[in-house]
Amino acid sequence: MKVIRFIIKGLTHRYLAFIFRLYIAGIFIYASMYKINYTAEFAETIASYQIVPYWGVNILAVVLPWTELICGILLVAGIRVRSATAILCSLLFIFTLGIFINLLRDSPINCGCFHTIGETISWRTVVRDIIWLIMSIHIFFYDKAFHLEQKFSFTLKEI
Amino acid sequence: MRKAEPKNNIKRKMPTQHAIDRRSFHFKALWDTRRELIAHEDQGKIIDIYLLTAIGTLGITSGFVCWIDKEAHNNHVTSRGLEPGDIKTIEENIPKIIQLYFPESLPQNRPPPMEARLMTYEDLADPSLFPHQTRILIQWSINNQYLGLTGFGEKILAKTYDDEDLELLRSLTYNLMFAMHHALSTTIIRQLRLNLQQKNKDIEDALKQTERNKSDLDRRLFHLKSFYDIFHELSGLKDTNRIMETFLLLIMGTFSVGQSYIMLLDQEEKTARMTCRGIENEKHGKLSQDQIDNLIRHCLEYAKVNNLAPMNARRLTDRNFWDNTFRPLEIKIELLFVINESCLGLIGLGNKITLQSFSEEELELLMTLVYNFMVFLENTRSFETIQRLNVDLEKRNIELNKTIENLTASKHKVEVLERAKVRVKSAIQKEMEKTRRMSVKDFLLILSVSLLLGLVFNFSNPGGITLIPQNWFRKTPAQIDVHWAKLKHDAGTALFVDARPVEFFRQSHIKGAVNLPLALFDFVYMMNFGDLDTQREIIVYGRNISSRYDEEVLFKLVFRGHENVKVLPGGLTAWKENGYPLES
Amino acid sequence: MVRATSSLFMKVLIFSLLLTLSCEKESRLAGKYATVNDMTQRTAVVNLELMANGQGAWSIEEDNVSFKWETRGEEIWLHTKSGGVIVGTINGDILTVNLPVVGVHRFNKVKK
Repeated sequence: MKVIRFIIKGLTHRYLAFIFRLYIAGIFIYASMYKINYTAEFAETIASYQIVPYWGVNILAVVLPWTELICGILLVAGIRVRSATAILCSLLFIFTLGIFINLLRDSPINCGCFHTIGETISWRTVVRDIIWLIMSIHIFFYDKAFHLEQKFSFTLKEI
Repeated sequence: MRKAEPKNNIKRKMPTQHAIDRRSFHFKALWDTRRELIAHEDQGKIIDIYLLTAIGTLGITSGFVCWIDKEAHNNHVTSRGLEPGDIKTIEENIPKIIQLYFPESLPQNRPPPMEARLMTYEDLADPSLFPHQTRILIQWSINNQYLGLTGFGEKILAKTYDDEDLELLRSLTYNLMFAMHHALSTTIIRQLRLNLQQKNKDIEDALKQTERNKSDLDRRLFHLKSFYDIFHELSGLKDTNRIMETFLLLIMGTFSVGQSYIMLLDQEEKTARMTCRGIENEKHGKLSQDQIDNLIRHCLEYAKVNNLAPMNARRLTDRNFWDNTFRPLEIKIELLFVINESCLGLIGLGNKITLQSFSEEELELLMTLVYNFMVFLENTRSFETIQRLNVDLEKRNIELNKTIENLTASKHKVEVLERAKVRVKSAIQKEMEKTRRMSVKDFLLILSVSLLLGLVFNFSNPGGITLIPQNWFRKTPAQIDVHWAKLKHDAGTALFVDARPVEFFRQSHIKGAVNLPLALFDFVYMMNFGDLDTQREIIVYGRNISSRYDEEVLFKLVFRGHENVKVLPGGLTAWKENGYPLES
Repeated sequence: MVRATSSLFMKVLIFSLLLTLSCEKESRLAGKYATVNDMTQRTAVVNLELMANGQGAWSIEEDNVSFKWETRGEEIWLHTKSGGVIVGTINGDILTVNLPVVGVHRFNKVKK
């Protein structure tokens, strides 16, 4: 029991959440960079998933990388972590779902997660995305450490 | 009356020349006596003349007159030719004589007023009372008060007294009585006159006194007036210097003095205030601090030695007072007044303009005025102290008010800051709560910022993409039915182009179709379709929900000059559904 | 927080470092290339021009297509305007570019 409690405590520790936060934030910022740079390629990737209607592909390709970037930055900075995490969670969920659907469809497409080419979708991708999703959820619930906002408010309280 | 008597005597004794001569002699003596007596008023003199005349005229050896003033008990004896012992006997026997010859109880024994009763020695009731040589006794009275008894001794020439002698004696005695009466009357009148004169004098004195009283009253009135003036003038003043000056002028006016000064010495402040009139200023204007200190010390010592209590004054009459001390001014009258233990002063008055000396009353008045002056001075000093304190208080009040204002301002500021703090705190708390919560606002914010940044970046980026599908603005491309396409496929007249990405092409495509992926259109076209006949019929297929690859590729082909390009709307799905040949 | 910021900072640092490194490589890689062998059926020579600013041109005779290029490790990625990527490998001055559908092209550096 003690061990389990210790494990639970360790698993729900806020520093763990903080590490996850940095990790997820880093992933999304990194991912967004390429997508922002090569919007057309990202639009192609979205199109290849065959989920978004054709009239929404381009606009999504324009907006989505920036959302990823902003959320990543917010996560790093510790500002509105919950909202940002929620957005990232939903993105991850959609990505996972998309990959999942395309795996079922047996579409021979690239993940496009980071780059346009190089990584064909597989069940590994799904698992990876699910792990990331769990991490995000962990952040959502347990993240408390090193928030810029709290830092400010603590300083103000001290004042 | 008096004349008638001698005439009668003359008529009765007229016979002889000798008698006539004698009688004329008697008359002459009587006349002379009478003249002489009338001229005198002094009773002693009158009696003397009477005695001398009687003795001289009749040649009598001795005689005496016993003069009795019953009421005044003033009896005296005048005598001629008697031994001192005899005189003494008479004087000693006067009470008895009175009792015997002028008894109160027996009026008939007394001669009536202005009557003379002659008695011979033989007739006498008690001859021992008189000298032995007495032969004739005349009892007389002027009134009830003044009585007389005259006695005569033996005659020188004759043994007895004859009638004429007796007549002469009687006449003489009458004359004496008249003269005495006259003298008495005259004395009374004189007395009355004297009294009158005295009374007059008294009245004059009284008048003079009244006069004096009046002037005294005037003076007192004047003093009172000056007193009132001082009171009136000083009561309105609240300034020590003004009070001193005003008082100085008033006492100068009151006493008509040409020079005066007042000096107020303050031990605490170590100052000497001086006011003067009629004195050269240079002399006293600059007192050195040492002189002031000296003066103050000296005056205080003097006051202590002389038990001069506060609010008291004394005239400095001690000539040694100024011996060892600087004297501010040489002046006639000087007063030292003490207001309290630390404050005292000197008042000096010079000579009067009239050069009269000061009377006691004036000095008294001066003292009274000085006492008043001291009261005013004390009040004024108190008032000044109070005023100074008031000024201090006011200053402090102002400071206090300022402090209060500052405090209020600070308080206000603090309140504002406090409110701001509370507001900021609550805002932060709200924000913190927001941090813990996720909110739709945050989502909208993040998404709209993303949209904005994305759009801006896309428009500014040369590699940007169009956001609106281009086929919305193009004519619907030529289409070909799947069956018709199959026919063409079978005939081999048309070139089937797969517009999908290469991975999809590799997975599955219409048999014989060539891949011309939209993403690599330019490269692949350049490399593989460069020498393709533009008239060749091309059927483009490949579309899904997300992309119209076929239409895009068709458009690019048309743009490259191909005229016979058609789209297979059903795409690979329709082809597959119809069971037409595929390859992978 | 500090760690977070520093981590971000490190990332940015590494990224920019990579960028400069790649830039260096790109400037080294920039130049004109041409196909040498005849693996395709075509005899025409394909010219490839990589400009130092990241732009490039693929041309046969008069026809030419522009693209953007970058290096990734030992690979060179050519980004087409329409959203495609063509990957090539770098081997000294020789670039082996695999153009999907069409085939592999070997380019030799012609001049800097």
